[in-house]
Amino acid sequence: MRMRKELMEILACPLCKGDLELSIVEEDANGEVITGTLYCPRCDERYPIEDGIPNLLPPDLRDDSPG
Amino acid sequence: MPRILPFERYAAEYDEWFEEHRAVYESEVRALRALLPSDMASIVSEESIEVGVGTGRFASPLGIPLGIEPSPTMAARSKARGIAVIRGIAEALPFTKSCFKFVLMVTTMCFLDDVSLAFREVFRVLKPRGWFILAFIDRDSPLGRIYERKKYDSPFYRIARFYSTDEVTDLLKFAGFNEHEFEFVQTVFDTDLAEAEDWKPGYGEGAFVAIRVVK
Repeated sequence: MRMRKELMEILACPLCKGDLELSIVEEDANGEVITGTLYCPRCDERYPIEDGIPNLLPPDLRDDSPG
Repeated sequence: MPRILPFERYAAEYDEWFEEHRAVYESEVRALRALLPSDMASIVSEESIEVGVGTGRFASPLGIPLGIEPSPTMAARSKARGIAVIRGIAEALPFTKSCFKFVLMVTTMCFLDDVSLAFREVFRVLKPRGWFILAFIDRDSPLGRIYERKKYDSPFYRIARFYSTDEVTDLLKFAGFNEHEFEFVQTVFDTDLAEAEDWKPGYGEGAFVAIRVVK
């Protein structure tokens, strides 16, 4: 199972556990999402997908967090 | 904060440990296999995950296709072993409830900020009657006491908090797992192993204890 679209059925926001909306920037021939975002409308939070790895760390633990 | 810094800095060394301690590693994989169902292949397909998958050293031989890992360097190594990886923490699992038949967690709990919360999260994402297999260094085993005493010699274990099996079972019960269905295996009775050891049921002798619990 790669970061394919079917993984979307079980992925949830790490904070509110609500559904995420997938935006694909780049995918490979096998349907694996390489670059994109997962958006939580309830928390208004965007989680990046980079190099085929979704970053669903709570936002305050992300590398780019100001803290 | 998740304790990932040493794993970022020493990811290659971490991964190398499994080659240098092949007999210990194989003993651990054997003990975990002993707890897996005989029709493992069907269960360990799409509906299983390792939490704290690291570099994929356990998910890979056990056929687990998906992992959660906070460290980007470790996550990239798991991905290279063919495992789908999501960066995240055990205390805030990014999954809907009741979506897995099987969750594995191997020598991860000693690095968690909040074990109690992590176990409750595992309980949440498991399907009813789903299995959780948890493996850890038993602080009260003879070798575990040595690990505890020497932990400051290791860049990884210096940030670890080891638990006794009794503490772990209490935490599992608190998370909602039924103690009447706990199954224990143990291995790693000696540090200088020439070849992989057989596991034994129960705990108290081996440094590596694995518990299977059911939701």
